[in-house]
Amino acid sequence: MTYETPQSVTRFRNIGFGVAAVGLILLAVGSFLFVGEGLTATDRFFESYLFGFFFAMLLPIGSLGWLMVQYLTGGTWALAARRLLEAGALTLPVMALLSIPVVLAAFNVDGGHYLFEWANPAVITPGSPEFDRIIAHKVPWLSPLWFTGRMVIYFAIWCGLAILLRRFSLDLERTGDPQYKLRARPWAGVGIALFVITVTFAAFDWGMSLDPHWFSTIYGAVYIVCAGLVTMAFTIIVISQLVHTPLFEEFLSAKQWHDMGKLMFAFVVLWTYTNFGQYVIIWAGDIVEFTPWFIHRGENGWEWVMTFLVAFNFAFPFFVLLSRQNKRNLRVLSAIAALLIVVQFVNTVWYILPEFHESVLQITLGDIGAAVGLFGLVVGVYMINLSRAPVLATKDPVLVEMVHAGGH
Amino acid sequence: MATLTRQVPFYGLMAEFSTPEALIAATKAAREAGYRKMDAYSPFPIEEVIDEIDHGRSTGIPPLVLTAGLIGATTGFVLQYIGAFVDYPINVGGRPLNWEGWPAFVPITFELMILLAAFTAAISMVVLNGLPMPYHPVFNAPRFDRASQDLFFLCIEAVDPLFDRTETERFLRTLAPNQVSEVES
Repeated sequence: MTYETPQSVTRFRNIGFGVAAVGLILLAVGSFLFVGEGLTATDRFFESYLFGFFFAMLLPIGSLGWLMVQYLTGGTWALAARRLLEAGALTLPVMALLSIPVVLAAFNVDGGHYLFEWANPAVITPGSPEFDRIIAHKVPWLSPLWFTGRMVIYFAIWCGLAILLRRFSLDLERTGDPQYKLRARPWAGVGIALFVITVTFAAFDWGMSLDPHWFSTIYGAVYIVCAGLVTMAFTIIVISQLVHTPLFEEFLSAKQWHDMGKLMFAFVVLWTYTNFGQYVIIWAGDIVEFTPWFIHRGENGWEWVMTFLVAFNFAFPFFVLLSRQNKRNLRVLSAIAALLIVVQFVNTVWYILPEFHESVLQITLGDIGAAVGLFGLVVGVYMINLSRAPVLATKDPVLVEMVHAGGH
Repeated sequence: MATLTRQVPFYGLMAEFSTPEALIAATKAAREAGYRKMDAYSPFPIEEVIDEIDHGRSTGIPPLVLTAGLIGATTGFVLQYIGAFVDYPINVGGRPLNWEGWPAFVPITFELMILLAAFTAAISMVVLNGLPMPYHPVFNAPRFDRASQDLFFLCIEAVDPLFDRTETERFLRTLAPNQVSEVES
């Protein structure tokens, strides 16, 4: 397959890796700068790293989810997005390696403060002064060994699906035989069920288990929605940057990004719906096991973060994306998409960091560095993947609908 | 108005095409030639044709739906506020009896917004389309039943200020249609 990589892809690859280098240096520096309150540099590092990992995983996970969804729904927006989603999903093998520090934190390799409270033997040993019956009860699930086992299972399933779907896609590109697309479909169907279950439990493991007393059944769904939102936003941004490359120039029109804009709008509403649903149920129930999570996130400055989220993950993008003209204007659409990625970063801050910091002012340089650095790394690998195949699956039969009238 | 609504013995001229591309090109050409009172008929929605026919003209539905949604949301909230706080304050598990109790009202507020907006969208679509309409002249055009199967039609209506029985027919014939026919009113 001879194929010329668009220049902007190479440029974004370099930007991604540049940002990654800066971010990871900040992570290292930040870990040492914020030593204190009984926390060593490695403790700080693990806190920041877990937060960064939680944020950076949104794009790979969301890409895999959308990749399977687009096989099941079909449509020309799906075709326009497919190669970009494949590039995103294929960052998962790299993320599998980058999940190792999270596993190490669960084993508390540095011997310092326990990142995951449930990993602390003193908490689950009867008779110890720190003994906690509720956490002890959860030990069969929340043990470092089984945590590692689950991590292996998640990444095996995700990487397997990503690689398999990419192979079908490249076989289609090579041979032009549409049966490869038909063969991808059942895998997408089965995969989406596995995806929802595994991502739900992954979100429980990485985020929710930081407060092992608290639980919310919708937590995993919220993570999936955030991943879907970040990915659709990122896809729109990449399209806005590649719209003048030969293949997109020839086949893409406002119809495709209009549809993506509608999906992004739907996910803005879905984010609001799931988060408010979680809030109103806990608020109305007013039960002592459930409320502390929200009480903590509503004081010491975190309430301002929450207000920001309501304004910029809901109100502002909602009213902008309501209009048809705005969704068809790629400039406006990609600006909103960029805003939503930043807002999703803030959303991750609000979800994870109150577990580590009493006040919003205690957010460290390392936290920011880890999130930005790991996200930059994902972007870099994404761009390498994107440069390995044409940006548009040119042998897909749906391509005809793209240039002909009436397709969606 | 009186000068615009000329009395004409027929509804318009109908051109028949075999492909959506031909219809798109014809609609574009007709718009560029200055025709405004026209409509296209096809077995499936064609966005390009819709853009040409409407040309930025709103259907009028979006502002109606927005208004209905806002009315629905306001009604839903005020209804509950008056009921639960003003007229008959009721203590539900110690939840606040003032504006701080607002989260409880959001589901109903949301539902009523959706309800009114959705009804308005559906009903205003029907009404603004002039439905139900038991008779419409376009069905007098030959083979018009195939507009819902495999043929594409463009009708320039006789009420268009630029309409001229011979000139318009000559114009339509330049667009390479299968046939051009007069539509009885």
